[in-house]
Amino acid sequence: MRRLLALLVVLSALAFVPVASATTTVGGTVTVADGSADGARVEVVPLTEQRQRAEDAVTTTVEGSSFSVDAPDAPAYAVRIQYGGATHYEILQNRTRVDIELSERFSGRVVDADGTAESGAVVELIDENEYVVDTGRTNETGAFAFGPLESDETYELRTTVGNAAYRRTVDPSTTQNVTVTALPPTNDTSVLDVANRTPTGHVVQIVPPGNDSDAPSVVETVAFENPSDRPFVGTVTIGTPADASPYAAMVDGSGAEYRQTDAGVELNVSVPANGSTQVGAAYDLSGTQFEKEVRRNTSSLAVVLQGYDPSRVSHSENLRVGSAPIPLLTTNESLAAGTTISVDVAGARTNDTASTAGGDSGADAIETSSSESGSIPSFPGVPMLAGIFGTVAVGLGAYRVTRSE
Amino acid sequence: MNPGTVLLALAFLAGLASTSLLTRAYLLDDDRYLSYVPKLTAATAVLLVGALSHLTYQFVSLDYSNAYVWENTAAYLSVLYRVTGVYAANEGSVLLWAAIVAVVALTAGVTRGFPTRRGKLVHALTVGVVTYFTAMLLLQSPFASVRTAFPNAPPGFTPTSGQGLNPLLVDPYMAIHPPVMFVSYALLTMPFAIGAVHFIALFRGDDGLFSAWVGSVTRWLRLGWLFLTAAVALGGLWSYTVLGWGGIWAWDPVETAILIPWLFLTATLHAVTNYRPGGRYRVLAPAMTASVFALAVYTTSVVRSGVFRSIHSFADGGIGASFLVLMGVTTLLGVVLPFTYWLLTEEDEVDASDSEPSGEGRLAGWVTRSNLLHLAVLLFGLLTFVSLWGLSFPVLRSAMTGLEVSVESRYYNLWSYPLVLAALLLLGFYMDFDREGLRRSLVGVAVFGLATLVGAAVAPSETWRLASVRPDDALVYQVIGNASALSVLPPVAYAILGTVKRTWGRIAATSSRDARLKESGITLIHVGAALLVLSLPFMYLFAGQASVMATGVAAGAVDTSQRDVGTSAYDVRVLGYERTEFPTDPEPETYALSSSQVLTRGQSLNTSVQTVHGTVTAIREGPQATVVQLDDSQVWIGVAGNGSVGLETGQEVVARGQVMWEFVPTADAIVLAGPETVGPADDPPDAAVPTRVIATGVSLAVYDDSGLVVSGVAGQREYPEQGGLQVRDVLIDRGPLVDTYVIAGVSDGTASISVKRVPFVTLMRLSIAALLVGMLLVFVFDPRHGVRTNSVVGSGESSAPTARDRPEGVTEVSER
Repeated sequence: MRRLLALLVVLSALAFVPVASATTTVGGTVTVADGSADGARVEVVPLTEQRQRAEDAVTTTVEGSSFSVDAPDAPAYAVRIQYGGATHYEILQNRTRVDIELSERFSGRVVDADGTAESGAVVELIDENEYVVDTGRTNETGAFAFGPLESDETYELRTTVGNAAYRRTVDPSTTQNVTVTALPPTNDTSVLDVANRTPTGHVVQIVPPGNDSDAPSVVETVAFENPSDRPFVGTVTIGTPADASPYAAMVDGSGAEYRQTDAGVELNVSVPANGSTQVGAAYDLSGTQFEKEVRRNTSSLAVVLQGYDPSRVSHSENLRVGSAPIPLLTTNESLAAGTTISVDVAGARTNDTASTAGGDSGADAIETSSSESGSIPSFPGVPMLAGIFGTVAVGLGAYRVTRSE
Repeated sequence: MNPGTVLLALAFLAGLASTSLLTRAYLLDDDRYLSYVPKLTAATAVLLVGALSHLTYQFVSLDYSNAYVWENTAAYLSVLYRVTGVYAANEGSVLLWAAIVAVVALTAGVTRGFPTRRGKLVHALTVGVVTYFTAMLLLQSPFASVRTAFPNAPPGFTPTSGQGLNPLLVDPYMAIHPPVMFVSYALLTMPFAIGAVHFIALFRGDDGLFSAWVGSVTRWLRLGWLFLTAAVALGGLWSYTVLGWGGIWAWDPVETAILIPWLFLTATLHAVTNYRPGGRYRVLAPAMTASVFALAVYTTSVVRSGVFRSIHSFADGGIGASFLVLMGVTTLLGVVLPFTYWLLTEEDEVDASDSEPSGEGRLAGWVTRSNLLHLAVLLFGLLTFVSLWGLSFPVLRSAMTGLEVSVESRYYNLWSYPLVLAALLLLGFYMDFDREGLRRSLVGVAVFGLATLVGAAVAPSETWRLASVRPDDALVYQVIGNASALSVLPPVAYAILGTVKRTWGRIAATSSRDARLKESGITLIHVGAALLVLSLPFMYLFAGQASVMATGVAAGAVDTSQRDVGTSAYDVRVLGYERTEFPTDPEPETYALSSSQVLTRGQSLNTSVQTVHGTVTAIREGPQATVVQLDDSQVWIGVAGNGSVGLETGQEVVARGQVMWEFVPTADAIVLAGPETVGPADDPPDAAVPTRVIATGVSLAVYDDSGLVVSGVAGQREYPEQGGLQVRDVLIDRGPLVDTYVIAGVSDGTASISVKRVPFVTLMRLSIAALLVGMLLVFVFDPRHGVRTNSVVGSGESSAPTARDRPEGVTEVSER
């Protein structure tokens, strides 16, 4: 039996072969203040750096108060825990353990300006990662309730009454009761501000033309913020240069109907109370010059110049070359409504056709694509081979010489 | 019953009869009826080769009435790739394998015969394997009618054009890789049978037949190794040119699957060298001999049973279950049987040779050539295990947890690396020790071992590190991954030094030409292996690539000036753009039916959409439609609408449309075409002519500091009728030190050009050539077990027929 024993020892050594496969154990605990999470479904989704799904998700259940599951290796993971009708999300980056404590609850009502209950309104609870945690409808008294929720998370409460949206930020560890008063919407654009967000609330992207012409097109996006308690439902205008011919518009990332007016592009927009909406327009310029008045007070504005050399672009004094991985101009200080900004991209193309000596003037030059080009390390192949065969030769000689006997 | 199936059925019957007679003769020890066996074995081989030839003929002549032919070829392919289609999927591969095993069994039977009782069992096993394969083929036949693919088609239905060959297989390497691989697997059948019968004999209480058959085993193993090495190399070179990633090895499950038998076969060759009848390795050598084939079947099962999804999954299919049965049987005979014997014979083993000397004497007593070989077998065994575990782990894992994970290549690389270095140091030491004695060789191994450790610690730059290590990696990955590739140089140098030095001495010491050639062969193999190990890490660590985009290439507005490629030293000039569609101007016969073919197929074509061709013999213009008669026959083309269709009498035309049989009283068949689908044969309408391949590419020239490196066309070939699959056409300059490897992705007039520099590929090619030539020399000229020497000896001591009468127990090997 000695052989059998030896064999067992060898086989048991297999258990110590570390990570033959590309998996990571993701685990943690789920505790519920007044109950047990036992049996709750847990889904672990491997994510890329860009928070895109990288591999198929793996699922497990909470046993007692903890869970553990092997997931394919990934730079980050999203953990979804379903408990009591709600789904709690946690993004794990550089860690594989998560401890979730579901202890907080809050309730509230949705009422109109007179205090009358809004029944049947959809109420959504969004977490800090913009995932929908739970949804519900108000009852006949306008009441809703959520919980148990995470104690260390701030949530956004979203509800829609009619065509107007209302938002409220709630930290359930400090607030247990919320009343959302659905004030009637306003169409007064003065309630809106250009969002003071990072990197900037107002972006003008100047896009080089795809054909022979010099005139670029512009994609302009503005994030409107509504800090008031009244939702905005009405029209906003994105100002365009006088010579612009618009061809598209968008609201919150999807295409939208627009009207061209003397002032620019007019769109129908709804901005939630305490929320924001991103609005954009695309238009062609007739020359290389971009000049317009800023219609609102803007804390910062960026002019993105992909395909141009910002140092060769002539521009108004309220702009300067920004320090960012992409070529752009930024504002020195906040711009008051009515300030004029101007940019002229004449002769600033990074791959100017003039440099293609002898080539067809219309053809784009071969441009290096920085995203793909890697580097080729120098390869000391000759010294390596010389080293090996040198060693062999020296070795052979050394053996000859040292064989004295 | 078509001719192919008849051939297979007859082969099965012949094989079954032969196996049964041999088994009967073995069990009853009764030689009656035995005279039929050689004829039956020959018949099996002839019938299987006949079936294979018949299938090949069907492929070459594009006989689409065979479903397998229809699925795997098309008219536009050249004859070479029509033949390649024969083994493009499971059925044909198994037929090829079966035919080769049958030939091997026949050859073994003719050259050696089966004079002894156990020899009959060996023969029964090999013919049994053939019979099993033939049975598999009858269950899933490569000769099935195309109507299995079209269950609703009427009798006699035949498609006009085939599905085409898997685009990845349209490559010269792939035309020869599968046959070479199956030859090697077939050759391994003989050692398997000998090993398995050896243990059956041991269980039945005699001393087995291995000692008598060791020469034959050695030859089979060597020949198998020769073909398997070639197969692995061809597979690697195929992926180098076709898959476009610029490497030869990616630890794809199927690559790993063929490497495992190779590693274990290498271990087995060393084990058989170390075998002494009744003494050392009397269990292990036969056991390993028997296991190689079991491993090969196991790894093939992994490929063919569709357990893994990998780039080779074109061979998926239901033949998997039969392979699993074969795997069970071969594992039982080749692995379980020897293993059980080893476990049961524990008590017999008493090592009397332990005299326990002390100090240096003890070391000297331990360091023997046999023990060093033992270590070599152990190291190759461990290497096999690393790959085997990596291949099997996902299957086990998936079975246990349901989570399918792939094993990273780091796992294989980092575990194998230290083992390979140890094997090289051991090789150097073995050769050194054999020549110089213990004291001097210990100095040598100490120097080079130390240099290896120093090399592992010294990384001139980050590029030299074996892997990029993540902080949460296991310790072993951290340690080996951080090691420098400089550590490969001392073991390689030591191995070459030791091998060359020993050969020198041995060649000088002998006057026999055969012995000299064999020593040269051994040297070539080991130096080749050392250089192969040298080339591999650098091929990956020091590979690099840079890219540029060229816009407007399709519009003819190409900027032909010389441009930098990224930050590299390479420059590129785009010279032009090419776009070709295949087939160009195909003959109408290759894609369209003639009027007589339409009439022959008759009713079966009713309502199907077909392309037809023929000469216009009459045109009748009606108010609703124009009808055109082909070849003065009962086949007409109908074009809806009134007015001219632009055809004239006497013109050769092509038309595509629905065939209506007996649709109108005056014609047997009418092809309902439209103005867009009918036209002259010399300028056929696009809708009627299928485009199989669209090759797009840019012609370009790549320069480095010293001038032009390579010029030619790089691009891709797209197969619109095969799911739009794309295959890269790469441009490779095979330089002495580095390969320059150019890939161009051309779409929408923009070419994305990547230039890769892959180091030491030529060194790798040379080392593979050294392995093959070396083994060929050893196989032919080995004074003890060589083919040439053996036949010379055989004719000297007794002619071929009497070799059969050689009594068992007379060893072919004599200890020196």
